[in-house]
Amino acid sequence: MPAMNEQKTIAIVVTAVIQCGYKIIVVDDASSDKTAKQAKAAGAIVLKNIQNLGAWKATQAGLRYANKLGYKLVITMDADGQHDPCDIDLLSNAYCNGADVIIGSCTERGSTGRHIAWQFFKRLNGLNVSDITSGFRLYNEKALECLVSKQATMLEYQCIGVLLMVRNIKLNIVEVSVPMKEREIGVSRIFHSWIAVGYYLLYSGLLSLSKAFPTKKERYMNRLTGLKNVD
Amino acid sequence: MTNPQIVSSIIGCVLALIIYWLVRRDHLAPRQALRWVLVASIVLILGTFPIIIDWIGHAVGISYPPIIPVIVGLGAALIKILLMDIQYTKAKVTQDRIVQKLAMLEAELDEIKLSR
Repeated sequence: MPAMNEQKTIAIVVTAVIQCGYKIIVVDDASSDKTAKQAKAAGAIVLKNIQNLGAWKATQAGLRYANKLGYKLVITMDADGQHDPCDIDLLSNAYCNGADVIIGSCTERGSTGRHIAWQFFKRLNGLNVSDITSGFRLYNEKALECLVSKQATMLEYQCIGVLLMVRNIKLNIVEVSVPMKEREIGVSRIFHSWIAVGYYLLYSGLLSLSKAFPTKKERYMNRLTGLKNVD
Repeated sequence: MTNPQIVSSIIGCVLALIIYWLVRRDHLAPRQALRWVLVASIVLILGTFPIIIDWIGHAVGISYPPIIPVIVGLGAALIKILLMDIQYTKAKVTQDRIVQKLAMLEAELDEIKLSR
């Protein structure tokens, strides 16, 4: 779970996840408040980035650590209390029905503009996912293997790039509808200004176009997990 | 020697001197400096003997030879900038992964300390 300056909500979320019987890794993305301390006190394993890396790369730090510890299933979620830890069961139930990546999606949220953008990117990259920005996801071992790669470190956002990567190694992506709360405190880090939105749109557009045509699965997998990536 | 010749040879010499100084003061690694020495020598040679450009222009059939160094220079700069961006991407990925690794190692160390 990536967290940056979320000291107001982090303890509640961590406690709720632990109560559900899961282990939790919180990645403190160079917060200036007491996020790391609060998370640790609540019982989470805390990774502290010395430099702000952004939501996706912070998440990846957590994924790498989970992979190192030998976990086979990882669920990512936001630290701002948008996702209800009880819904983790919804994702794991869906996993039992067979899939490699499960997305907890909530298409009711977001403005009309955002929905238009989602539809546009969907057409562009041929990804059959309706909620691409959801941070509430379950990854299995196969997905984890490609998401800890150096190529995945190149991505800035977890939405399209990560999903395309998973799609291109022919993993099965399934969506499960989950309720999400409106963000109560703080603002979205990705969409904090119009320039940021513009940049996001251009970035996602280029990424969608360049990764739209799936490559050969084996070759791509070799590139992702080749010897050069061992560090 | 004509005036433009003198000016361009001076430019070549100054460039060479600056590179020498940068390497001497540890601002530039010898590996990178070698390329710049090459650039300085080309400027010096072509500046002093611009007739070389005319020969090349005549040989390849370019009616206005002075444009040759401009085009070659711009092309080389373009390729170099692209290579620099590729290098920057690689360096950035490495740096980000080091930040992640550091956080992982710190957490691991904490776990070990706790378990002892």
